[in-house]
Amino acid sequence: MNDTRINGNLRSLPGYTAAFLLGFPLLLLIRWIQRSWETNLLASSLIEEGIKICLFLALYLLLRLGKGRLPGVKEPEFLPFICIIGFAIGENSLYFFYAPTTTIYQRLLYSYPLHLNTGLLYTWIFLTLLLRSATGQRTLLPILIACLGALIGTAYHFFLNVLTLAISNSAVYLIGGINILATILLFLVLHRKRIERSLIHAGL
Amino acid sequence: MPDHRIRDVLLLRLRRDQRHRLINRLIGFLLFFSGIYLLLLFVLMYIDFPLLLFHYLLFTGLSLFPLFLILEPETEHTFTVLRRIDQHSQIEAFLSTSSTEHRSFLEQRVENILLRPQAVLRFRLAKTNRFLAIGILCLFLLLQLASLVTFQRPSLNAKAVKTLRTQAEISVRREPEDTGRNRSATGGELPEAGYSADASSERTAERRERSGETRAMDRDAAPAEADQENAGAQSAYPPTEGQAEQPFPWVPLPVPKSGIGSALKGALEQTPDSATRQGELPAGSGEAGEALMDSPLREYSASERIERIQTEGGTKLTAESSPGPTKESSLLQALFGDFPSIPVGEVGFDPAIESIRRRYLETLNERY
Repeated sequence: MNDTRINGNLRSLPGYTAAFLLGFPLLLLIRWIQRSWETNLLASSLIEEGIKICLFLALYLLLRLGKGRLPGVKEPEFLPFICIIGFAIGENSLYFFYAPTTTIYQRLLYSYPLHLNTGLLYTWIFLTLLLRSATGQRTLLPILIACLGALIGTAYHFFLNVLTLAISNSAVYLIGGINILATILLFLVLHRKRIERSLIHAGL
Repeated sequence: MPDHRIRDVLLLRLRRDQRHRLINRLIGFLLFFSGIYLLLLFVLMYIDFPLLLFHYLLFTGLSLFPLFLILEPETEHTFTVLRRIDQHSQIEAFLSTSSTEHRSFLEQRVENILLRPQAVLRFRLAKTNRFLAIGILCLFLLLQLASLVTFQRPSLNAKAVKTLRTQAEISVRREPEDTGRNRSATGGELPEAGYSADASSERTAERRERSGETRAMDRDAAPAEADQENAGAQSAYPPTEGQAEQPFPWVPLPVPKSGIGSALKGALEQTPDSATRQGELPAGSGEAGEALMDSPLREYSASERIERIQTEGGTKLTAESSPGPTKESSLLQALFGDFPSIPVGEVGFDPAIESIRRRYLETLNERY
């Protein structure tokens, strides 16, 4: 690891930490909304995914204001995803202290990858849109893709929430395995997109 | 070679390198997690660390996995790899120029670079991971050594470490008591509480020996909390006639640290002591054996038993007003004390316990 990379990591650390910590108040906000409105499963999924998408919209506005850059953060497009990780870890902690049994580890297969997968999907879409706008491709298609992505994310969240009520304990591991595979796949796709962006930055 | 082909080859190389980096980060995470686990075991071994906190830190540590995969500036790394592939930026120069003269000059060189076997892109374990692996190996060996020294056996399981630590604490605490008991045993005169007059002194000693064995077995299973509770109970409960010289006429009730799980398990598997633990089984214990902290059901079941004693028991037991360990201890005496010492009908049991007791007495009559 050379000096530039170490500096890059350290320089971005406060920004990433702030994004991570933002996940906790976000969780409380979502819980408060869900309790106040006594939401059902569909509404809960809509609220959670809606707030995640709002994070990306907020970042988009910040990047517009900062002319594509955010001071102190090397790769700002990952800030919402890091915030989602903070949110998911906060939710895990809530459930952990609510029901501290060994079955809580199942959350790492089922509910935790759910948030990761939707977060990764939105990050991938966001990165694609940024690259398209960087290369001057401004069409309606990206907006349609973004809307479709939001719909897919919400449907996936809702479907898994409903499935939790229906499946047996052992089936959690099967679906958990599929979830983890999806997470790995999304990570790979996202990393490919990062390379493409890096090549563009390199003028290639 | 056309431009898009050059870009594709470059992209392929970069992706390959990225896969290697992801594998390295995965290994890094596994090592990091192992390190956390071993460190927590160390803490558990020497400090009275709650198992709940242990699992929470482990759980949160596992949740940090995505951060390991995402937190690295990709752009800078891509430049580093590009420089490793093409040290003198000839590919960038070739792609950025439109001059045919320059392109024809660079074309052969670019092709050579791209067709060269890329030894630099072979998988290598990252230097950080190598150091981390050595550190974890040392930590592992140190932990096993410490476990061998402290508990006389190696251990990697958190629950086992906790139990072993509790056992060690109990044995240290009971050492002086045992010494005192042995001294009085050599004296020969040990009156048995409520024991029938026709029993010989030999049988009494034998029973005491058996009781000692059971106690030793239970000492293995009972955690410190149970011991403390029982110790408190014994001190609070006024000694009955004949118990004055015998500090522990009954064995302590093993209260599993992790809730009611082991009791349920014992009853289902019909282990030798399962019958004695039947009273601990409240209905509807869905996540038996999986609790990471003390179960409130334990308190619930205890109060239920006290209730039963109050309704079915004699006035002596109901005289105690506080539902503390005092009443619990009288039940313990009834459960684990010698059967002949219990006046019939003094304490109510459930039918299963009752039938076991009856069968025990029958066997006793058959044998002697």
